Amino acid sequence: MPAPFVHLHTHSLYSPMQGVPTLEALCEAVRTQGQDRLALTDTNGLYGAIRFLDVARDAGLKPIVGAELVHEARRAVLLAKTPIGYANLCRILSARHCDEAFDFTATVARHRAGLVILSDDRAALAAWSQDSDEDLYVELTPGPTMHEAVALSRQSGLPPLATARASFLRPIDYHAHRLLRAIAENTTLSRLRADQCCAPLHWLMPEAVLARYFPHVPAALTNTCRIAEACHTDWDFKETIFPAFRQLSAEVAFETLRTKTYEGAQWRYGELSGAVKQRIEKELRVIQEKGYADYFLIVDEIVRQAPRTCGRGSAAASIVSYCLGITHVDPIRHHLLFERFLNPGRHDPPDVDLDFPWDERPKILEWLFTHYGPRQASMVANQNTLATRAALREIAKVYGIPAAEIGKALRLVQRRADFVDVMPGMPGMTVETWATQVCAALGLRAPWQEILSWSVQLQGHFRNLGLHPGGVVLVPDEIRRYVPVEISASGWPVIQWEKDQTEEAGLVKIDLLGNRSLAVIRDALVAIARNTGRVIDYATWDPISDPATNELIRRGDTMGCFYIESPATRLLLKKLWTGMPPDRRAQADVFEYLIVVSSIIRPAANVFADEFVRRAHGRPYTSLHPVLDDVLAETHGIMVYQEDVMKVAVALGGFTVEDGDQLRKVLSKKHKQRQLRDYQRQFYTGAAARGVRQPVIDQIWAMIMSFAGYSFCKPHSASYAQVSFKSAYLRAHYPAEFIAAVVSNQGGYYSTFAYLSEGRRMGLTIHPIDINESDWSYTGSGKTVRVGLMQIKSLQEHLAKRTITERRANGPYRSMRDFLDRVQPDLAQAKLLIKAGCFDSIAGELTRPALLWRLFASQAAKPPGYLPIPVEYSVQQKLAHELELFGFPLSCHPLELFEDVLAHIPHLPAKDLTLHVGKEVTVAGWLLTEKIISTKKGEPMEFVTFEDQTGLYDATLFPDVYRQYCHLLAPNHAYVVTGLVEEQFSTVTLTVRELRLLTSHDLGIQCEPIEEGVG
Amino acid sequence: MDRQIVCFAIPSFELALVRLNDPTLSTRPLALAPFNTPRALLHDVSPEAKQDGLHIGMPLEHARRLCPSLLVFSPNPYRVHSADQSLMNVVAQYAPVWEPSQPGSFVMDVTGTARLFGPACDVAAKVQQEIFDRYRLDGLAGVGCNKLVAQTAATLIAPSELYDVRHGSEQVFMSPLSVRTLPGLHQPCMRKVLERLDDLNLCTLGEVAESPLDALQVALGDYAGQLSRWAHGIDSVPVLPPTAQPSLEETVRLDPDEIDDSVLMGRLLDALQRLCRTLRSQRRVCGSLALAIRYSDQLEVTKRERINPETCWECDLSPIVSALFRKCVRRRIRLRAMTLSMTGLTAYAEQVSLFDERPLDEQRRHDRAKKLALALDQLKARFGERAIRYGRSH
Repeated sequence: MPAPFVHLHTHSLYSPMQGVPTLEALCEAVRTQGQDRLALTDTNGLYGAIRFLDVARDAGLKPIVGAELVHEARRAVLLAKTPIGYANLCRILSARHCDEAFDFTATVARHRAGLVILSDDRAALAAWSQDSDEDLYVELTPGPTMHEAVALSRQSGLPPLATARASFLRPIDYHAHRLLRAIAENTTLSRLRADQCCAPLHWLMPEAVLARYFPHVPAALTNTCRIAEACHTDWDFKETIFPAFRQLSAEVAFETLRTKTYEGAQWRYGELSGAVKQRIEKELRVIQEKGYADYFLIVDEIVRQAPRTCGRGSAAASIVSYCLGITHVDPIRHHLLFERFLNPGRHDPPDVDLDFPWDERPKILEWLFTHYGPRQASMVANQNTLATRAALREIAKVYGIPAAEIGKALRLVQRRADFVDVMPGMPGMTVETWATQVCAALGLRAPWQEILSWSVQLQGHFRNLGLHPGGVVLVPDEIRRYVPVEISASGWPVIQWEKDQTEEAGLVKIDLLGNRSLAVIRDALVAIARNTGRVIDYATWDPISDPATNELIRRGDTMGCFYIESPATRLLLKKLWTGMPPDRRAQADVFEYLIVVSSIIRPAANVFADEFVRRAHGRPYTSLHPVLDDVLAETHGIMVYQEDVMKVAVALGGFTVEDGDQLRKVLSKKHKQRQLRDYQRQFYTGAAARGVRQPVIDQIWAMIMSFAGYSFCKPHSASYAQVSFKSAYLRAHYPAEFIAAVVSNQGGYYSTFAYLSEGRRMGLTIHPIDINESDWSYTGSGKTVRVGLMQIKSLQEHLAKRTITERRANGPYRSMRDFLDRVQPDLAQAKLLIKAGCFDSIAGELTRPALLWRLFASQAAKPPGYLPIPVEYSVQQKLAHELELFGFPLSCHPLELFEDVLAHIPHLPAKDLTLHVGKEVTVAGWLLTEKIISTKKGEPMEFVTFEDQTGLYDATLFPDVYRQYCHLLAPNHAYVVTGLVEEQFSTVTLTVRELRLLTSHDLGIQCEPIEEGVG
Repeated sequence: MDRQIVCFAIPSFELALVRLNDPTLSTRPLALAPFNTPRALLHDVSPEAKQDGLHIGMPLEHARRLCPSLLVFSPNPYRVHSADQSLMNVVAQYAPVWEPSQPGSFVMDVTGTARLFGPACDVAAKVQQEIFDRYRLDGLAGVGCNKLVAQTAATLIAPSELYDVRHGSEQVFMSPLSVRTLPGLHQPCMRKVLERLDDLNLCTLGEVAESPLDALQVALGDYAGQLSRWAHGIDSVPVLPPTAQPSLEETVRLDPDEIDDSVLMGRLLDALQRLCRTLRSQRRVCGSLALAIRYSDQLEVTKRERINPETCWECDLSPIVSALFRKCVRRRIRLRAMTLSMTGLTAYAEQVSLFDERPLDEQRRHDRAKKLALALDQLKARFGERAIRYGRSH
């Protein structure tokens, strides 16, 4: 029998930095108390409402949706009694966050319909009861002000209602609540005021405890049941809410789409083949059936706002998308499965991701919001939570640990992930004992044990709303009906849900994402047109058959190329193509293999990548099951794409196509563990029924699980591979323009320094900054790249642009004096330019220190009679200035700074590593990138990319060596590396045995190894 | 009359004292650091330890890792003080005016003593020799016509050596030296000057001396004249004999570091009571209170408050300490130490105000607080410091 009480005022961790319990813990606790309903009333939001519905139902509870509205000193709990009440609740919360002149009482009064209101705010209750007493209650909560609320109820005649105002589950969780509040208030525990946190009594009191506080008002408890029964609990958000295209009717919208599709098909294919027509008709049929025509037309309209886009995701499997110009990969030529994008059984809305050059995206968003208005359009949120590192950092701040010590401890914890990975939950291991063990192992002193322990308990807490990188939601009417809206820091309206809840609530999301490589391609094409007169049309440009581009990709010389520049991808490309037998190599399609390579590089699929290479080289293999030979023929029996999960689930597990698609989707979600367990059971049962042996099922399920978290569908990879090809073409034919564009757009995998080094290795000359030659960004032409003014840290962009405009308008600067007169920069900015060597070409006999002296003199009220000319800065001083101003030495390779030390250490140049396979060698290296991974045993190891003046090389530190040297590793430092040269698939790597960090005191390069025992 | 200044110093004075007691340590790497805290920093290091990369201010743990054979000694202020006194006795025989600059180091003004002890360089040699003969401590000495030149000369030599900068050769002496050898340039206020000197690539004092003053002024502002004089070897600062400034202070060391304001205030008020008790026992009152705090990241903040009228009672000083605490502790960082200092100490005047303008209630409360403080003094004197403490109601 359910308890005669229902909790109608509870907070979960979705009450930002206030509520302690997770939804699961809250629902479980309420269920344990014997109740069958629960109202979640997070502060000023429905941040976790959709997830709450699932979790509550899983726990056997009927969910009541509500929120605690708090504004300045006023507060009330609002419960959605009906769907209309839900819409009103969303409107009130939106007004609370968006309206500058928000009036607490008036707004609630205006949108009261369908809401139950609980409050102890005397003035507000009086105002609302003037309209009606219906669904209006006085909230009584144990605490010092309870007697006032009881008196209010008696005086006003409004019925009393008991709540626990629970922000935490047990009294001992109060400390966790205070910690969250101290983090939020940016203070310490001892300085946290009582009014900044809730009372210690505000825990999830069971009915028996709560009843002790209300012997004199028994109705307060029974009223909770009455309200709970009156509130709607059968919430259903399954229906998809499609945006409307210019308010056209469904028929007109579909006909418009059909017309546009056929026009686009003519543009793409010219003469339409039967296969093309058949595919178009098939897709249009599904689109019409599901009512997606408006959606396609809207996306089409957005794409037309920018000349260069990349439609990606599963939408690239659609010929309609291709014809409309939303995507650029021919789905017929590349055998892309339309069902991955849309199928009749799929209930969730289609997902179209559009990439724009990163610097054009704000304009696209601006257009969108101008066109649809904030009434219909809003950004999707990112719900920022306290992640492990953030939780550690923030709690450490509350404990008063200085920033430097926090940084050191975090690096230590990160480097020694093997200790930290032993998470609490093992038998006999409490959070406290775990924290004690970690601190003992890492040499961290008090209070780090406490900090670590709390960080585990508080990680994952919702902190604030951020913006999803590009998700936009459009609705046909008013968005505030469906979800509360806030205003983001950048001024865009943003809904309170992140992408998963958005989709689950039936809202259609369009991803408009910024892509740096599209900007790289754009800038390089502009530079090529300017330098050579050759105009390349982005839309019709097809570099896939270009021999030089194909060869470049085969060599893995892809640094700077979109999506295929990481060390792992370059290495895989080398392994794949270098060791491939000539007959196979002659036939293999580079583009098709590139699609595979960009899909198979994912964290959990390393073992499959090497096996794929072996099979691609023609090594015979036996599939785990004969069925896989057919299903995965295209990828040599290895599961590479998300579609493969669907195909294998259907073929081996007996899934329907829809179930297979759902399994694929569930794998990429964070909160779907329970569903995943159901699918696992279904797969095991289905496969066993088809006579598959248990060990084989285990192995195939492991392959399926390697898609968890992050994986791609083939259409997505094909779209990306096309952009990769375009960047590879530019790198092969126009290296200067390409490298300049890559560095200028600042978005690649590597640092500016690494790209410039690569440019030098490509035969380019890097020219220093010059006041009469440099633009704001880098410029490339022929065999030279000129460093842009953007490289000077702290140089104001507007000053640099004024300098360039003035130069273009009135000719080059004749001297520094001339520059000062014409541009009139402030002293600090002019100093930066002088130290960066901008005036070297026009300084004549004046040294840089002499220029500075004249600069100081130009600011003086009484100029001196004679100014000396000091000697020029030494080479070491200039290098120090380069480090300070650019972040790296520009005039030489950083390893040259260690020439003295290296002269005494016999070492090889990196380019000669291939000549010493199987031998132990010593090389010098500047660390470019590192990637820490865990072995199967959970031990950390690291892949590192180094470079010297002659080339890049990849090195591996296996667990024993890593443990010994991990504290010395950091990007942009110099090392002497000793190790064994190993070759696999004709690709050479170095297995590190010994590592030495080099330091140069002359330049003030501080190598800071992580010290143990920082506490 | 030309001034004659001698700078005598024993490098790493306390370590030299340690070696004096145990000659087997003469070639071992040594360091000085407190033992009572796990986060100790090195106070001093021997030349052998410096060769291994150790330096003053380095964390002791890190030093031990860098130099496993390092021997560490705890500072012993008593030993240093008594040794310093012994050296002072020698110095006092030769110089009418001397100024202790740090333990084991003195600047002597021997102007006008030539007839008595000979030229300044002879005085320096005599002091060096006598200290070595008496105490086996090997000192160095710089001689010049002013403090700057003598002290600079002393930084350029090793123990048992003497550097005499003859009159008139100061600029020649200073000219090749790096601008960074000037002790005055290491003060925080001179950071900007050093930065500008770097900008102008003026690395040596000679380069500064050769630059016209008006040209220096456009770059260095008001500091140009001072720097130019230093570069020419000119320094008019006199040698100042030590003066005693009566003061009382108590340092509260927090280990582990602490951030709880109520705990910190409690420790501070305990310290205040001890200081007040000392004041009362000495029949003195204080006219100024200062609180210096050091955060975990070594940042120090000091705030002062003048007290009028002077007092020796906790009930008068507690609100001032609380206010100082609030002014000092603004960051969200733990504290490592707090030092409460009382200055402006004068004798306690029995005379009370004839017309006390405070309300009667307040006067009575104040009187009760005084009586209570006196009673507590007696209890603590009899039963010890921990016998009884003030509590605090929230």
